[in-house]
Amino acid sequence: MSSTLIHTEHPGPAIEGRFARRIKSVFRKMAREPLVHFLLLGLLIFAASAIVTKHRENAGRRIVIDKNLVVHFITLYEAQMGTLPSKSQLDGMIDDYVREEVQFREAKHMGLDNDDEIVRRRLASKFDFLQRDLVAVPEPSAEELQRYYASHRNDFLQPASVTFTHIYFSPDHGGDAVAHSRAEQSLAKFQSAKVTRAPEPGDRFPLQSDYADVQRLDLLQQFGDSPIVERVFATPTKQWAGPVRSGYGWHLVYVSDREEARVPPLKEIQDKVRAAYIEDMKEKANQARYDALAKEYVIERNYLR
Amino acid sequence: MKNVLVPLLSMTLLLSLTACKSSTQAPETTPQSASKRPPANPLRNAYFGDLHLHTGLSFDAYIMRTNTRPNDSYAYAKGQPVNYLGKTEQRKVPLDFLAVTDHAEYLGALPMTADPNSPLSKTEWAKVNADDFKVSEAAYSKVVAGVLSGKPDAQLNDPAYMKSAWQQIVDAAEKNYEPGKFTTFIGFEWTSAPAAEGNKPQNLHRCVIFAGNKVPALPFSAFDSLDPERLWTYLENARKTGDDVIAVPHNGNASNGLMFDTKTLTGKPITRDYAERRMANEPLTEIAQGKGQSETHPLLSPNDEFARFELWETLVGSPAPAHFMKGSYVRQAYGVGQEFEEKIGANPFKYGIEAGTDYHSGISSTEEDNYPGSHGIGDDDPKVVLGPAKYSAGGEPLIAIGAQGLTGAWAEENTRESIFAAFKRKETFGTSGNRIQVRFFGSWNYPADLTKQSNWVKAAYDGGVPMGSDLPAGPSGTRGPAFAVWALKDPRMGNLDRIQIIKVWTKNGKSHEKIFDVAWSGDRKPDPKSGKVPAVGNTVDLKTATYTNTIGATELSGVWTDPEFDPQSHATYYARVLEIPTPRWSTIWAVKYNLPLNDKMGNTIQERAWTSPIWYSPTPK
Repeated sequence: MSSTLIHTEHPGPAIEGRFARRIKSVFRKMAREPLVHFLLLGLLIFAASAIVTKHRENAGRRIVIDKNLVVHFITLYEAQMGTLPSKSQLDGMIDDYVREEVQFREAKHMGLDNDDEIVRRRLASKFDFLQRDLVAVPEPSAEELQRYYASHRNDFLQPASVTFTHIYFSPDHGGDAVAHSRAEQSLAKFQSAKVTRAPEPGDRFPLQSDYADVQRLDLLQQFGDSPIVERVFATPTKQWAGPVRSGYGWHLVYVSDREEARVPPLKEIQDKVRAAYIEDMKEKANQARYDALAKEYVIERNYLR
Repeated sequence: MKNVLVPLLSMTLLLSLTACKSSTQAPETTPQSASKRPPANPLRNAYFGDLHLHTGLSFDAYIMRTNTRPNDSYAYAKGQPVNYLGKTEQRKVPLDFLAVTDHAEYLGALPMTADPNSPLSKTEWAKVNADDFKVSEAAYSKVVAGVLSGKPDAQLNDPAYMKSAWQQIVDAAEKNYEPGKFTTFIGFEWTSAPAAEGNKPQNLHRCVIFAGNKVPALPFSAFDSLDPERLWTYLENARKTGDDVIAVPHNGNASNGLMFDTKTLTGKPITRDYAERRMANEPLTEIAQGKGQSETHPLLSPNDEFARFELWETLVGSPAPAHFMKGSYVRQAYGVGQEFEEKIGANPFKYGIEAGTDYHSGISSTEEDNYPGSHGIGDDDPKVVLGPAKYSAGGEPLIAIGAQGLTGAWAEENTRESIFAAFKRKETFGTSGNRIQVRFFGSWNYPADLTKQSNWVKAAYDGGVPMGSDLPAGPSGTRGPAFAVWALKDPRMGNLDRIQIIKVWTKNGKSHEKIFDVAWSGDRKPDPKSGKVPAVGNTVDLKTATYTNTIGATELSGVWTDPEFDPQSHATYYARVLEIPTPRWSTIWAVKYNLPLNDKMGNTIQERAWTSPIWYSPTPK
C-alpha cells in the first residue's frame, strides 16, 4: 500500500541513488508504525465515507417503487379489505407513499428529527413494544408453582358457596298471602317428618329445585336481589327454614352444605395459578431487561447536587 | 460505514420483530374459573348479556369524558363495583355475557391526545380535552365530521393506535372469560352512516361479534367502506383465517329507511345471492337499545296499542326527523322480506332478535332503578336531562334514551361456543333491559296443555322447533301450526301482563300483520269484538316512583294454534311479553332529585321481551 503511495506521489527519475534508498527505508519503517496504520486507516475510512455520502446524496434523490413494494401495498390492502385494490386505488397508495417519502427525506435532511420530542418518544415506545415479552417463560416446576401460590394466596380467594333445595309457593294461585300461608303449613309438617327434599307440596318452580355449590352472585341472577339470597347463607344447615321471599314468591329452604370463602388447594386451581405465575414472570423479565440496558449507561443526576 | 450499516440492520430487525409480534394476537392460555363448572343443560338455560357497549376507547365516549376501559366494562357486568365519572356504580344483578364494541373509527386514538407520551397530545386534537366547553366542543365537532364524512384525519387514523386499542380489547376479553360462569366476546362497531341530503347521517351501524379469539389484526371501519357488502367480505375473510363471526345491524329506526331497503346501498336490485349472503353474515338484528326500539312505530302498526314504546324518531347525531314509513322497523321488514322470498326465492330480512344498550359509559346499566346515565358527562346532570330541551347533540333530547336493552340466549352452558351457537341458530330474544325469560316453540301437533306438563320443555324440543327456526312441512289438512309459549318474570322487576304472538303474513306481494293475546294474568276476558284483552291496570305511584306486584303474574304460558292459517301464505310468527306498568327511570330520577316530572317519554313503561320468529313457508326449507 505504501509503495503505491510513493509511486503516485513521487514519480519520475528525480529521486535516485542513496537519497532515494534512505527515503525508501524511512517509509519501510513507517510502514511498521501502528500510528501510521491508524492514520492511514482513518484516511481510508474518510475517503470511503465521502464516497458513500456522495452516493447517498445521489440516491437520496431517487425513489424506487419496485415490484416488492407494490406487492406489499396490495397485500396490505387485501388483508384489510378482503379484495384487491383497483388500479386507481393502487396508484393512490403509491402516490401517497412517494409524497411521504419525499417529505420524510427532506425533513431528515434538515435534521428535523433531532431534538424532536415526538420522534424521540415514538422511537422509545416502539423499542419498548418490541423488547416486551420476547422470552418465553419456561414452564414452572411443581415447586415454583407451589412457592408462587403460597406467596400470592389472597389472589386466589374464592367466595362462599351453598348447596340447598327449596320448595316454591307461587302467588299466581290465589295471591301472595295464600302462598305464604301454604308455605307455613308445609313447614310445620316437614319439621316433624324429617324430610330433606320434597318439592311436591309446592308449585312447579320454573328454574331449579336444587342448587349445588352456588355463589351469591349466581343466586342474584336466579332469584333477584331478594331475601332468599342472604337467607341461604345465614340459616342453620340441615333443617327447613322459611317462608322466605324471592322475586317469584315464597320458599321453604333446606341448606345441606355451605362452604365459607376460602383459598382452594393448589391442585384445584393449577391452571389459574400457572397463568398468574407466567404473567408475573413476564413482567419481571421485562423489568430485568430494562434494568440491564440501563446499567450500560452512566446516569448523572446532576440536579441532585 | 458503521454509521450507515447499523441503522439499516436495526431497521430490518425491527421490521421482522414487528411482523412476529402482530401474528401473536391471541394469548396462549385462556383463564379458567377456579370454581366448579356447572353441568350443561341439554334443555338450555336463558343467559343474559349486552352485545353493544362503548368505553372511553371510542372517539365519542372519550370526548364525553367516559373514564372506563374494557376491563371495567367486564367488571361491572360481573357485578363488581366500578368507578364511573368519579362515582361507584354496581349492577344489582350481574350479567352472564358481554361484548365490548368500541367504534372502529379512530379506535383508541382520542385517549392518546391526553397522553404526554403520544404525538397526538401535541396536535390540535388535544383540544378535545380542554376544560373550556366551547374549545372542546369545536374540536369534537371536527372529529365527528371526519367520521360522518368517511374522510379520516391522517393523524387520528394512525393504525398504531387502533392496533394497540384492539389488543387492549382482545386482552380484556381473554382475561375476563370464565367458561361456565361469565362469557366475553371480542367485538367492535362498524359505524357506517351514509349521508342523506344536508349531511344527515343515516344509520347503518353494525356490531361485529367474534366467536373466539382468532380475530383479524385490525377491525374494519367505515373509513374502509360505508357499504355493508364490503363488511361482509371482511367477515368472510376473517372466517377463512380465524374464528366464526357475525355482524348485528342496529337502529333501523334511525336509518331513514336504509336499513331494510328494497335495494342495495349501491342501488342494485336485491338478488338471491345478496339475500343469502346477508343472512349468512347477519343472523340477528338489535330490536331495542338506548336510542329507541326498532320493532314498530305507532303509525306503521295503528292496531298495536303497545307500539308507542321508547320511540326515537330523529336520526342519530342530528335533530332531523328520521323517515321511517319504509325500511326502518323490523316488523315491517319481516313482511317485505317475505315479499322478496316470493319473487327471488330467498328472504333478505329473516332476522333473529337481540337487544343491547349502545351505552357510551362503558357500563351496561339497564336496571331501571339503577340507571346513572349512559353517555358520560353528556347526560349525568339530572336538571339538564329532565329539562325542557327539544333535542340534544345525539338527536332526540337526553330523556329519550332508554334504560335498555339486553340479549337473552338459550344455551346449554355459559361458554363462548354454546352462546355463539345460540346466536347462529337465532335461539335468542331481546328485552327492554330486564331479565324476562321467554321460550317459544312451533309445531304441527303440540297438545293444548303442553306447557302444563311436567317435562314440557323436552317435549317441546322433541315435537317441534324453537325460536329462530323454520317450521317443517305441515301435514295435509286445514289445522294451523301450534305455538307453545312460556315466560317468567325478572325476579326483581314487575310482574307479567301478557304474552302475545305477532303474525306477519304475505301473499301475492301483499303483507299484513295481526297481534294475538295468547296468555295473560288474572281473569280478564278478551273483548268479544276486537279479541283484545283489556289493560292490566297500573299500581305506579308517581310521587314515590314505586309500584306493587299485586297485579300481573310471575309466570305465563300457553299453546296457541293459528286460527287464520293459510297454507299458501308465507308467515313470520314471534312472541312479545309485556310487564305490568312500572316507573320509567326518568320518573325515578325526578323523585330522587326532587325535580318536576317530564313526561315526554311517559312516566311509566311496560317493559317487554321480543323473541326471534318462527317462519312458515309454503315451500318448506
